[in-house]
Amino acid sequence: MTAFPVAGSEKFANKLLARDDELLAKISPALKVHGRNAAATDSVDPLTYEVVRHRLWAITEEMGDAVKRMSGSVVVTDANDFGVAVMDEFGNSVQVGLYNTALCASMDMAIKWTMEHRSGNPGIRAGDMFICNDPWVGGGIHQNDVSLFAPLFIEDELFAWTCAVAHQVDLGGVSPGSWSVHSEDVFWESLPIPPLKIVADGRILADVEDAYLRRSRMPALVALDLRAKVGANNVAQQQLTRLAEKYGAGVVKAVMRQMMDDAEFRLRARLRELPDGTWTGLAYQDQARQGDRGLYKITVEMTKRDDSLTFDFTGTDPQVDGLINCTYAGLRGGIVTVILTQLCGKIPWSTGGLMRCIRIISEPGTINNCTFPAGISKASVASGWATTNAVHECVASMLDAEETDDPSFTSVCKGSFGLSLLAGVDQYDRPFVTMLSDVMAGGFGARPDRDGVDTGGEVPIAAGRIADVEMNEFSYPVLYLWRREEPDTGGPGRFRGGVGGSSCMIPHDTTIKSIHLVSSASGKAVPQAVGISGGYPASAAHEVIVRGSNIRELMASRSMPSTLRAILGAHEVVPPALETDLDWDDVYFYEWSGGGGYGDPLRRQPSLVLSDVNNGKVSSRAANEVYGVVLTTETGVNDTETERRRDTLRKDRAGVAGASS
Amino acid sequence: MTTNTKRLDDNLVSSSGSVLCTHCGTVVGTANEWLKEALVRERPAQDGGSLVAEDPAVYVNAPVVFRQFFCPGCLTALQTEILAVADEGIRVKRLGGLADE
Repeated sequence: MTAFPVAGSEKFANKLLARDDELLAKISPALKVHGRNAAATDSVDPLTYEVVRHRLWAITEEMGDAVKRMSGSVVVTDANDFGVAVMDEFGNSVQVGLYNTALCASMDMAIKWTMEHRSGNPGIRAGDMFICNDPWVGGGIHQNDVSLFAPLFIEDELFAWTCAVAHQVDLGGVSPGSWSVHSEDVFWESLPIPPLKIVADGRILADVEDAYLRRSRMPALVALDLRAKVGANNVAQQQLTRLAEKYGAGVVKAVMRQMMDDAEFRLRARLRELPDGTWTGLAYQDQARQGDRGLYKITVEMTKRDDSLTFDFTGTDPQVDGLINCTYAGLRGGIVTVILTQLCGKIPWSTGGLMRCIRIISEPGTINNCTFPAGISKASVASGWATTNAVHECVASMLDAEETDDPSFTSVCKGSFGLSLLAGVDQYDRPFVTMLSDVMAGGFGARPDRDGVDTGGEVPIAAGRIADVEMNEFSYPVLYLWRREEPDTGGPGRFRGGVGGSSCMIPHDTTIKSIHLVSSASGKAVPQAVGISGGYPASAAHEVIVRGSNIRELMASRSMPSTLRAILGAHEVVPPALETDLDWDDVYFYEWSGGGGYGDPLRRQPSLVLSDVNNGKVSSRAANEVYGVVLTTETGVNDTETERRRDTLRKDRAGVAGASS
Repeated sequence: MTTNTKRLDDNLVSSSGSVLCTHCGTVVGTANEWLKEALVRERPAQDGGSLVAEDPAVYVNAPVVFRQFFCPGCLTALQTEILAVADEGIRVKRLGGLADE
């Protein structure tokens, strides 16, 4: 059924950010806001500025530590899928932590909305904290991203905000894990919670918490995460208060403002160094929901003029009935993560200032700027992720045009996020739901001067990591047959994209001898980590379930297979969206992509290809067929035959006269 | 190839409103259409090496191709993409002011 508009939902369609003075005019006069103190601003000397600036950065680190130490969710504790930030009194981000920056990219949207809509009723007071998982409002990209943001009052004035946001393993909806592959609109999914006061006067409100946890299949774990975020905000507020007591609130506020101004100034200066021009990017989502066979595109034209960037998403496909849409928050997150990692390696991550250099053109009702009640449960790794890819392609192409001896960009990194959700009971009949984080070890895109980092991580989470195999086996009833890097998953090029990997596992130690699987991996029909300057894209995602396999017999005979071919059974290719059960004799394999390549692979040094083959990064077949390198067991590279092979391949692939076929 | 050139990417430079191959100096396009004179070859999506494990038709209805642009002089790969046939031509690059050189 086609989703139809819901009257009144426009209240939550929060994409046009009010300027500070405009916001001030909209909030209740009961809320006193700590403003700029000109005298304090003038008194900040460079040394004080740097000390306070680094302290603010350190506070985000302490917030991250607090979240990880208190959470019981492997997704948070071992995969760092959470974000933290310190913001000024209007919610402008002063410092973003080195965790999931995409989650924090729309925190300003959520706080500005909260100030406008909650300052009068129920009010915003010291000791309050607001919970939110409504991506139309902001503060996260899909419903699993639950943010908790807290106002910090100094005396009786709103001085700043702090926030922690983390991926929750389950918040309801028709599928375990809340990524509903059958979703046609948001009512099939976990229903969004707009900003809601859940902590008042420093205490969690029991009735509100019950209403929040009641929706989850894993309420104890979600409750623990809630307390982890409360703890992170408490740590931040204690440290910010201490900082204000030491240096004066006016000085700390002045530093906050200056950090954003400096970030803007430095990004504008960086942009002025780069050539003006226009570049386009193209990314896809395959299948909007289980059973669908559509291919949906996101296209963006980035124009750089002088010291600003405009991202125009005109031409992007309309929103669809499925789970792959994202709101404006996801679109914004897709831009922010690329700006931070590709352009701000030497610029402080004060996104409140950086985003002043960015203009966004996007039509509501498209797959990366969808309107309520479109399905968004996969938004973060669907259209949000694809937006990152398209933006990354533009920014990398722009940076490629720079004359420099010190290039600092990559081709598009891990093009898609193969979501694998497992649910069931363990050997003690205890229920579990989790998102496997293995796929977060994606390959980085190649650079103009070196190969991409193998299984290096992913763009949105600077401090990303994955849970150990042993931690996953300890926490969930699975047994890994392998987890490893996979050859040929990195995009070929003069410099090769970093390789991705694969995991293969079976149910193990579960009383019901079965595990429920929700799989949703885009980038299977079209590889999504684009190469630059003729570099090839990285591999497509790939998943297979071997039904009724002989794996138990193999293991009983002390034979451990290392390839899918060595496992007998019915090999089923998994579509981009599938909810199913893994039975006792089934084997689940999933492979994720690496990063895009850079430059023509026929111009790669043959010795590097030899090294790649020896190290399992490139197959012998690809060495010959893509890189045109002829290897021998005696001498390694046969230079003469390699030259001949490359000449043949050049003609062959271009389809010109003299080609071999 | 003149020395008064401006880098565009690993393989291309601009000079006097034209886009030239860095490696052999062949003109491959113009300021507003960098790859206008480039050779274009389309092949099945699986022909790019080991990139695509399954035929895209297994997953989606839209025809998908492996598409490359080459320098007509030295046959260097200038752009490599896997995309829906219907979306050919979306990828565009233009440098500001290039046309006025």
